[in-house]
Amino acid sequence: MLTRRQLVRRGIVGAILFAAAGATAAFWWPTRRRRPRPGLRVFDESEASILAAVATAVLAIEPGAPSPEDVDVVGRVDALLARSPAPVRREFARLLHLFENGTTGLITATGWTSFTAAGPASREARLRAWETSRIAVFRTGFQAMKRLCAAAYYSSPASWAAVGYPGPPDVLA
Amino acid sequence: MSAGAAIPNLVRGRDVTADRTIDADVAIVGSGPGGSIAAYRLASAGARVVVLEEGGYHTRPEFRMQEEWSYPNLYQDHANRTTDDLSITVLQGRSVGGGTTVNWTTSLRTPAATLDFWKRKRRVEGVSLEALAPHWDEIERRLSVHTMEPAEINENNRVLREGAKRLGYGFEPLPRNVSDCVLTGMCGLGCPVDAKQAMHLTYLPDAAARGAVIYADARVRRLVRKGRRVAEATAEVLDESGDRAAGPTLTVRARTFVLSAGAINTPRLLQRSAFPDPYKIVGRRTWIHPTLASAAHFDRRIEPYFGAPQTVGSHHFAVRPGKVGYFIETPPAQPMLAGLAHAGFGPEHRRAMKELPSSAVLIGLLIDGFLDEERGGTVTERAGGRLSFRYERVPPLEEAMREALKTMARIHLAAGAREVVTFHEPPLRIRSESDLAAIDAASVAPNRCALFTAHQMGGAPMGEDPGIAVVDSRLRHHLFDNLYVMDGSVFPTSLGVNPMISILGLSSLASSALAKAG
Repeated sequence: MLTRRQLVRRGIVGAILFAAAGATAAFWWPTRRRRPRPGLRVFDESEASILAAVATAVLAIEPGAPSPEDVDVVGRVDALLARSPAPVRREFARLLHLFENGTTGLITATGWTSFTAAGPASREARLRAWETSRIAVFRTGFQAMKRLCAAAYYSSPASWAAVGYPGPPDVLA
Repeated sequence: MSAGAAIPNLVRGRDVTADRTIDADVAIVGSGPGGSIAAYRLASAGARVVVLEEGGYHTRPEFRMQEEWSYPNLYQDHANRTTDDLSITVLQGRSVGGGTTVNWTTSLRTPAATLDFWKRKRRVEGVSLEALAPHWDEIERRLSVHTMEPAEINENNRVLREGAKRLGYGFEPLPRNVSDCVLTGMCGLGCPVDAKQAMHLTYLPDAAARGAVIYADARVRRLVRKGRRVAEATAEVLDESGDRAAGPTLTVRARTFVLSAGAINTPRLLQRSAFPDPYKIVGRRTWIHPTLASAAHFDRRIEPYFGAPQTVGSHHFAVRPGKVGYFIETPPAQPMLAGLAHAGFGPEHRRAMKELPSSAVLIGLLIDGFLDEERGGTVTERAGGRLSFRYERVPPLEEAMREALKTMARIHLAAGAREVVTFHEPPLRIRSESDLAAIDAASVAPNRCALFTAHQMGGAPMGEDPGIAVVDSRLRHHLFDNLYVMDGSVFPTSLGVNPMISILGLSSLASSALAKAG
């Protein structure tokens, strides 16, 4: 018989939470939305708002450097996912709702407010809890969000100057 | 700048507006190293060859050194291929030329010890250094394989050389398949000057000049069998985006079929076609050289994004009896790849990114598949055509992960690094030998320590015993008389070196024998 610890390690608990919590999120803890954005193909307004908040916290761009909004991280992730199979798009959207959801904040002991409504310290604690969680599915979720944000931001030439990358060498002439 | 030869008679998806039925002597699925050299050998022997490549035909004018273009267009799944739990990032090429269009040019022959292991433990016959040597000699000439001059070695590689030297670790110059290389460091994004002698510039035009017809944007959906033979392959033509079926299909009838779709997509095609697999070995024992990365900050400029990657390597720890060995190389680190790979988030991640110009980066590649307890990866084609890929970790692998991380940290510190930053979640910062204990203490569970693979091997292994091998030592399927596999899937274990030259050599050997047999 499986012990509880084994269950957690196998991510079964996490998988069930994934299914259940996503559905309830929208009713209990409304997402703090930013202004509507036109032209997105995958994300709805609340998903775009959650991802924008995640990108801000994950990337921690200092004032003066192009912000995630300037680089349009949300739009770039949206464009990438638009080329991905439908199940991938659905899973990522579900992940965003789960991350936003206060229920998972309770499970990870990082407060019960939604992510978008939380303050900076609470946002950092939520990300750290997912990054290092004993529940494998949370770690997977953290990686999905972090990697997409980082790839979207740092693939943009606008991001290069602030990290000292001079851009490709001039060999095309 | 060398002049890149275009591939004559290449057919793109947009050129195919109605269903086509194609008759050929040999149909080859995939245009990476295995498929390309097989196409060349068989076409040279007079066979009518058709090559079906799922990826697009992308060439120098598009290779503008932009990560935002290259990764989505030149890699499998837009460079988002991973294990199911995202714990291992799978970098695998997808365009005409396959992995050779985007690889980092390292051109090493299969180690004798690996060939010997296959002979002793996996009943592989006739695949020896002596049999392969003449093929390698010719291939290395065609691809201009050579090591770099001292002045061509960038700072990132000098750090590896200096650190290894001070520690007494063995290191060696790594040969590369380049001609008139201008050291951009952009190998992974498609060579912007056609210096890299990739398949789309070498064996594919050579094959096409001998009558082979190469189709790009043609995704083979299934093989149709009739008794002990494969009768035809059906492919869907993909649209401009490279993702969706455009409508027309290709039906290819041939006397011989060669699968060269790589160590993940070849097993998937066999599964998708519902070919018999009585011993449940197709897609199992997939080996990936599980790869760790480690960065270090210096008080001087390193610029790891410029200059040829992997000009120096160390195989000092490749053989560790009873344990998993590993080797050390130096990746190129442009901002997107660095941003993806660096662990942590928030200010710590940003700080690592802002130190990119003064960072050196090493990778440690674990040589998997040689211990009895290893099971490796499992590739499964899921409903809807999605890939499931899992990789099983065993304690010796985790031991080797920690040892490789410590070795990389020691090399960086010995070379004068101010601080080593690991890719654990959260990252560890190591400033002296005494800090290395933190690596032993840190979790290396899935997604607690970044892993990558750029080398996919196994899943349709070769050998004379049908109970453990899908194809025989001449790469012919044990159950189908006219079906061959010529790509990295046939390796019974990982190699211990970067795979391109091994795939070319073995496919050359097998396709030459096939051509002679007629």
